[in-house]
Amino acid sequence: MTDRYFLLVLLSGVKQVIDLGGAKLRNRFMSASGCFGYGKEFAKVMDLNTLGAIVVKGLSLKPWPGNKGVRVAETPAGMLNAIGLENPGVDYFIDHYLPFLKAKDIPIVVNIVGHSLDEYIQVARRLEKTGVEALELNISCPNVKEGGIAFGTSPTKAFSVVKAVREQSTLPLWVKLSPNVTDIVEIACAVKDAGADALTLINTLTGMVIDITTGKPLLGNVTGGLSGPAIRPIAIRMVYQVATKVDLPIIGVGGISSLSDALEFFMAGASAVQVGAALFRDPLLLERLPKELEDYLKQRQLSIEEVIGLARRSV
Amino acid sequence: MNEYLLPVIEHKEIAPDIFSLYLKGNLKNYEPGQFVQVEVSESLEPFLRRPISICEIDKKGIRLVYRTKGRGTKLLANKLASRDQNNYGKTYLRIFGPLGHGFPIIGNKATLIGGGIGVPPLLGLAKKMWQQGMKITALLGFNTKENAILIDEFKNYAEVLIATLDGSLGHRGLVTELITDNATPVYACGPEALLRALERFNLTGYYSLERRMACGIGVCLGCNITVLTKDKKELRQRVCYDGPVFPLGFVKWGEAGD
Repeated sequence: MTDRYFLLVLLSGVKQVIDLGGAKLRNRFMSASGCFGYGKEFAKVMDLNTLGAIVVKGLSLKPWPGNKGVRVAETPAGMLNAIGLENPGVDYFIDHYLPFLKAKDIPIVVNIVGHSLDEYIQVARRLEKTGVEALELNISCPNVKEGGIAFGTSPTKAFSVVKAVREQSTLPLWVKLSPNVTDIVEIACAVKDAGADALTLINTLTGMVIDITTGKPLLGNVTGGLSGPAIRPIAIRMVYQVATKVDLPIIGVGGISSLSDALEFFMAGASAVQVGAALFRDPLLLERLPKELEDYLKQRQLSIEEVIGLARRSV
Repeated sequence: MNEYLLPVIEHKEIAPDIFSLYLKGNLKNYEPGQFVQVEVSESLEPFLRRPISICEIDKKGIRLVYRTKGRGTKLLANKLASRDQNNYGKTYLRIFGPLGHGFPIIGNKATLIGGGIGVPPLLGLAKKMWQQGMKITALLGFNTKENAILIDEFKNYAEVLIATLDGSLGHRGLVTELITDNATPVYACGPEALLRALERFNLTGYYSLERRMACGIGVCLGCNITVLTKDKKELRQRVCYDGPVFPLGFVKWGEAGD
């Protein structure tokens, strides 16, 4: 008992531990799924151990080839992507990437995707007892024809997939929601009732660009997911709305490219944040943010708890 | 690869819409054929960096030769052009790199084949090969004499043959018409039509591809293509990370990213 107590004191002294729906994070800044691969490339760019957690690109049961044609397009203050969840499959990840990540000192969160309810369950099962910290259920990818967003835009379907995975997995379960709905609170409530431990808000917004020289849609998939600073006000609004109505920790994501952007998410009610597309223009951003938050809080003599939800308390 | 904030020491238009840019500094472990991600705006609009190939690195600095095509490159050129000449060295540019894999250099001779804005990265390659004592032939193709770039500089390192579509300089026609039987190994960079045409010759070597990119560091998968391995298996590769240089003939054209 005493030993354990000292160990905890030691750990919390050396490294901050943040509980997020049962998952233990090192700080409040993570990579957003799909913008960080499986960590190997970024390990050449930055110190992965500065991450609160790594959230890896979505994994399915079998490898997925992704979409054909043009996959990315720049848009005003952001970008569209239609990758289509190209990934090597969960087994390949476990054999080839997980050992590398486990040798690092970071919590690993695995984003999982499926064409069917059964596929989600099987991917989740494969990740049991592999040493990952949490699952992030992706029910919001707008770029695959079956599965993905189809589960995330109906409260009953969202409930069923979250409940099924919940019953089959002992890992903390985060659910990443789609903004492509009329009422995100309704979906968030269904997901909470199904047993989710935390919510990730938001995935990309469906968008489209047309190549006026050809008169055709630019993206091979016709539509894509919009990300970047352009979507931040929508993400902030959704975090704020859900934080007001649903009693679950929220991970905010959508257009963060600086500490002030992240602070908006904290003030709206997010307990942690993810950074995605901004890493493409500023690959070292995630290495800087934890320290910048620390300095901000110290300067103003604030605790992060005072900042989280501040905007809701002041209305 | 690393992030650098470097002073601009030279920026000039060397042909219509083609600019030569020198940044003071050096890039560790640079291989000819690699590129850098250039921040064209300090604000968030345009959002993404622009992948630009490295033309050469010498005592003066890092040289990028780029064409203004879209919003980002036009913004970059206008920003740098509007600076007073005397203020060079006070204007800084943020770059990330070097990125991707360059051209593997093999043997003691080579034929470099460039088309248009694909010519610049071959200059650094010619210089490195020349330093290694290799015999180099450079076949350079342009639309017209007006668009021709870097010819005199190539002449320092290689025997140079030129082709223009309108015949205003050198051979009239396609650069591929200058290819001889003993051209192997070839090192090519240029429009897709040129690279695909090379596959019809009995040649081995390498070609460098251009694709729309977002991250430039291998994580977003926006520039993925399919390549065929030696045993004809299909393999997904990222142009930014596994490429942009691939062995000649191994790209499966007409796939994702076109």
